[in-house]
Amino acid sequence: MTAYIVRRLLHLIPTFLGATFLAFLVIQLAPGDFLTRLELDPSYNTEQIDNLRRIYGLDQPFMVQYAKWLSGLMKGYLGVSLSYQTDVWTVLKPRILNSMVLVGLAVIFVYVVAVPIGIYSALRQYSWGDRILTSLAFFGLAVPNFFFALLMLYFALWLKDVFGHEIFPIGGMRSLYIDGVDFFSAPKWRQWLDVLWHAILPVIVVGTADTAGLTRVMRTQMLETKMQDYVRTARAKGLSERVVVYKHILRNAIIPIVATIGFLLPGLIGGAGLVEVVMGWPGLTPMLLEALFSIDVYIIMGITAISVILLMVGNLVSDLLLAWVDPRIRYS
Amino acid sequence: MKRIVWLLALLAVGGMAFAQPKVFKSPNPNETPVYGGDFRDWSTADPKTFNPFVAKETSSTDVMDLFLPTLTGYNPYTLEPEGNLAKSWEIKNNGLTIVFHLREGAEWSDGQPITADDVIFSAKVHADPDVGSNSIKSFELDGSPIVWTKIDDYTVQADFPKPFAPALIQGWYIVPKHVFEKAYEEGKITEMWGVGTDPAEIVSGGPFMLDQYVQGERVVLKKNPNFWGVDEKGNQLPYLDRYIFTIVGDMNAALAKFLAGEIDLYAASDADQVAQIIERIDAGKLDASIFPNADVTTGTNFIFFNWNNEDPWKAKLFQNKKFRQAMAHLMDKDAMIELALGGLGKPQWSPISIPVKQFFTDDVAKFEYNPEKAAQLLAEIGFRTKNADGVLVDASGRPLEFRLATNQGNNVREKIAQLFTEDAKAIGVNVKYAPINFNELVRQILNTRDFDAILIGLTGGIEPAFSRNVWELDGPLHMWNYGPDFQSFEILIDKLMKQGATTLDQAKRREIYVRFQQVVAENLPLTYTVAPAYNPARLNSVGGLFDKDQITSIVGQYPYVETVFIKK
Amino acid sequence: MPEHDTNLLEGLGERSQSYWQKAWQRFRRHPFARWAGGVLLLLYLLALFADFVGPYPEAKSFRHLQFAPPTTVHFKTEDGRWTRPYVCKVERTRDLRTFKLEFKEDCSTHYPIYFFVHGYPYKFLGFIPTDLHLFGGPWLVNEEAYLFLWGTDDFGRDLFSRIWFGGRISLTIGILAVTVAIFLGVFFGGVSGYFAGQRMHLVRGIFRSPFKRRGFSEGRGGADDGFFAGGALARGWREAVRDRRLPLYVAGLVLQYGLWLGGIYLIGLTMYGFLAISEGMERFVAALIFGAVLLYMAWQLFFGAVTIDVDDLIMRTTEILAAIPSLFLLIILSGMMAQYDLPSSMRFLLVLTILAFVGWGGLARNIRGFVLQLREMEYAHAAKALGASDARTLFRHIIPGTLGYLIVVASLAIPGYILAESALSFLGLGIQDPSSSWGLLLSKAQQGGIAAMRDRPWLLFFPGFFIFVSILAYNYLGDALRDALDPRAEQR
Repeated sequence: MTAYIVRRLLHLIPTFLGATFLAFLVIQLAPGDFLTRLELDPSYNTEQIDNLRRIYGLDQPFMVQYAKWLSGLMKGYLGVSLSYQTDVWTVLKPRILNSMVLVGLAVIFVYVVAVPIGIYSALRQYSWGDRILTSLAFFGLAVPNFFFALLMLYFALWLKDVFGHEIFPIGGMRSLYIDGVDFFSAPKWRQWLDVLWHAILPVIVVGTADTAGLTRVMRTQMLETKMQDYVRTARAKGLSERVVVYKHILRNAIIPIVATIGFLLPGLIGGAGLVEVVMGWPGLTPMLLEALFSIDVYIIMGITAISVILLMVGNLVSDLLLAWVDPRIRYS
Repeated sequence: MKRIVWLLALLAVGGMAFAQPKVFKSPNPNETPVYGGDFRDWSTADPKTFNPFVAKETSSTDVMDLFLPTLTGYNPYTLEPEGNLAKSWEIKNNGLTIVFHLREGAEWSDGQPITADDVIFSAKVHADPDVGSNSIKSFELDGSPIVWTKIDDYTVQADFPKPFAPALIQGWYIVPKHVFEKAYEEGKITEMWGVGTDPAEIVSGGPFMLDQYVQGERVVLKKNPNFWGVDEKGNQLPYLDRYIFTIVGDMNAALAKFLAGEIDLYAASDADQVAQIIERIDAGKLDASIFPNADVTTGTNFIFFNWNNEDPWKAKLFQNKKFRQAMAHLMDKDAMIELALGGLGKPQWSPISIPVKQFFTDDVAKFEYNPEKAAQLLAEIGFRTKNADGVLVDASGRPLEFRLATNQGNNVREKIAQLFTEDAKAIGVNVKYAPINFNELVRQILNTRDFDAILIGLTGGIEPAFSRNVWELDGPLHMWNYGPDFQSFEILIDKLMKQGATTLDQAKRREIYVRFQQVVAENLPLTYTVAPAYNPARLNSVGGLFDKDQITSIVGQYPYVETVFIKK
Repeated sequence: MPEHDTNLLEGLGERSQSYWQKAWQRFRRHPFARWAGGVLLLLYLLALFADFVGPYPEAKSFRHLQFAPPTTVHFKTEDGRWTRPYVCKVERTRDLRTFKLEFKEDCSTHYPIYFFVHGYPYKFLGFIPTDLHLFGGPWLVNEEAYLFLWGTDDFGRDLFSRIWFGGRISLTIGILAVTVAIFLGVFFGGVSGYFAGQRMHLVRGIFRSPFKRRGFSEGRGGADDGFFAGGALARGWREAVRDRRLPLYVAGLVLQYGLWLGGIYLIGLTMYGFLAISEGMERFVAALIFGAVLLYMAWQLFFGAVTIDVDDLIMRTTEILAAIPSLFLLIILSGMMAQYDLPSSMRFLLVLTILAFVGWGGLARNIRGFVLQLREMEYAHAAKALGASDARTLFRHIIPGTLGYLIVVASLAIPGYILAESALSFLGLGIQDPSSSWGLLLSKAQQGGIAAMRDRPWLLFFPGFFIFVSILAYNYLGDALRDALDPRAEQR
């Protein structure tokens, strides 16, 4: 196993190079660069734009730019953002932390809600409860996240009208004031409480679609495992239904889900999607979108580099987890 | 409490007694302003930097406007030049030299005086091509530099290579020399005042100073006690304690925040939003006012054709004035306003935006929606019969068809393009419309020139001379025709633009630009479509704002942020 | 080995008939599935006959009736008598104080609705010219009055007609795209999981023969076949001809040279770039390192043999592919597509296929997880022991074990693809207005935000409803299918 882990860790290097190179290539092949949007602005001259292109190093050949970025990376430096003119990490760090709060809470929400529902649906297959939950799950999938987020905002507004004060905040992550004191002067625990309060609605929005998906997967897995020989054997041995369900069925049903846990890792920092934009959550998505549209290469590459590493590590972790929960699985 | 405020105000006035503060005229003399309170604005995007030499977008400059001074700007009431840090100026030498007198006693928020050294240093850095400042164009005129020199501590002089009419409204930010000088000499000036900088290090010379910046969430500025402005009664400004930008990336979410009373000002983008605000006001859930259609915005949307088309048949067609006039007759501007702008907007016929009142004229040729007239004009240039597909053909049997592109993601333009396409097809002009990526569009316009027609817009502004890049023959944005052959009206436009930029007499300038608008509207190098309305809304708890008839989309809802206050 | 295969096939062939019969019996035990099948059939028929069912052509717009609500169909006259269903004229105005739209009915004239009437001309099934419509009336073609059963959209187009036209896209292309993605995911995931832990020769130097016996899943080592490239190549060729594995041989060759030469080219370029910007010591060290790498690669090209785990190869590829910023890929694609005059549905299908080629990673990984588990099952070992080939063991014995999961994935992915088309049209790659699709209709309806939901809910409701219903139907169908195809189910 040690040899396997070492081999996998060695694979990190070529994979990382290949992934970042490909990403860089695709960005460069797309028409335009960071300064293109200025070219149609009447207040800019051609010379001015050429000069900026020179200052930002965008006039250099593609390979030079990539090599520069790579050599910066070796020194632990993600490059200088074109629009911020600051170290990429300075810009990314707070965003990643904010996204992690939201996505982390959402993941907990998803697993806490989806696994029990999946179990219920499988054990009571084709009951009315199962059918209603199935319909709800697909409803959750059919409603696009960002529209759901908007509905939630107006729901919060409506609650405010009904109760006369804010039950849920209307977007954002931190209040301006906590009990009349500026947020950052309030006690730490009040700050955390405030963030949690702001997170409730976005977590529901982010969690819904994933819950729907995971519920379906969990249900199918339970159904598949239910029919296995060892389950019948267990029943035949006279084990109680509870033991059969939890020790035999659930444990085996959950294996493939364990395999996907590694995928969560890059997801944790990847931002929660448009929900963040609509609900004013200062996560990675709003900034990534801005970077994508303004072609701020180094911010995009910074995020890519971090997520590639996390994806690879996450995959390794879930492979190891897989072998751990199911001793039959072997890699060599 | 009130007495303390008065006392403080008196003290402030006393402290400024020998200084020369700027007096800010409040829009409504009947209001009694009060000190204190938060003003809650919003922004669609984060500021990218607090460094004026790096800033490229309004999300950054909107914040900078609050803490960095400029020499001069325009008066929000008259749109004429007005002094900010410069208390007065003299124009000498037939406009070739301008001498600025600075306000003595004005100070940075760290207590250092604002002097001619700061102005000259800022000018030097802005003009340095290796810095890449956005304001670099304010320091040269047609290739020759504008020279800034210090006369004494409170006097600076600018020498122009030729007279330049909008010289006084070219605002560029002045920074404290004692903060920036070292970094500039080390070549690290772009690393200063980034988003990671501690707000306490950022020195202010404007009404507010940076207090906190929470990425993705808000920018908070607090009052600068050293600010060099007073109101008409001599009270120290600004009235507000804090100015807060909440960052909301989505228009609908921002509307929700306004409806909840969490932001103070909002501009509704279409009839849907206006209706929602009115409904909430009517229901008594929101104490606010809204002024639908108070003005139109300065942005433009126009269609233009590629006169340099590789296909000589098309190039010849697009160069034909009658063809362009026929196309203009196919633009159903009423439908565009109703369907694309949600009922709020105005048709636009000429290049100068309607709100630019000192130059705008309505007295231009208007080719209004009239498909029969269009068909007749097309018949005059040879398209008399239709083929089996119902497309007009010329004598040689070539069908009248061309591609039309606009940038993806712009809802209004996509709808305008669709309406035009539908109307054109109805009379047998086969327009093939497809939205494409903005950068690809730019590439086609500026480099490859392999397009037929494009619908796009340019940001408009208060000063027509700033659009010279579009209208002069060698301008990089002379998008419809990069020569070498120019039509006589293009040469005329070129001449008018050059005259307009160098004429100092306001009445003569107006004449020049009126003529310019008439020539463009008649010859249609760019065919203008519609301009969206400006529908400002505000909470009634905010004071120091314009009345309905004073509002313009150029200035906004208040003349000066310094005199905005929150009613108690 | 081939002879074993045929025997096995024959054996299975005999059994499979009764298997399918039993599956059909099991399938019919699901009442929901029958219902779901019926709904889907109806939806497909309505979409197929959209021209006939809808009274208006797809792109016909009535600008003065933008956002008209569903037209009221009257069944009674003013004095309360039952009569043939009719509609009234509708006038649209905007209240200039509240800025809301108002629609007033003018029932001075009745416009009765007839069935199987002449209306706008169209080509039935794309080639039979006709003008027969399910319902309408002469007044409808003359545009005296309008019949918008489900209201109109932002250009005043009939939503009822557009839903059926849109169904053509949404009910077919989404499914096709899911199929492509699943096919790729299953193939790569299956291969990856099945061969995990078995090393094979990925590339061999040109002085070694490309493949000795079985290129796939061969153990490490193997004797060198001679020092001359020609000899090795010829020998490989002879073996390939003998074993009837020519395509594999050619693919191996291409892979071999492509990978090494490509690698050398890329590293050389990177080196050039690096040297161009570095100086002094840094430059020297970099030159040494890069030089060593290049030498090593060249050596490998001639003499080396790299063995690699297919599992590693495929899984690392998914990681690399995951790094591609898809927005930029799409922008590049849209630039390339713009040169060809493709219909937007073709373009959309093409784009989805390309996206599937980039986006199979997640599914492949999950399938691999299953296969890692299933390949150790007794029946997999049994199949192998009976002499089934690797491909047969994998695709006939192991992959069916993931069927339940695949059906769930498919039913989860279909709504994703239906909605994705709206995101793609935003980039000019999907269905373009005035063409219609459910995803496009829904996303356009959402642009108005909350006002759209309150003032014109029909625009959100109908596309949303049909997306929802079709997903639900697919899912119930899939559920029943899974039960039916699972031989263990009958033992319940």
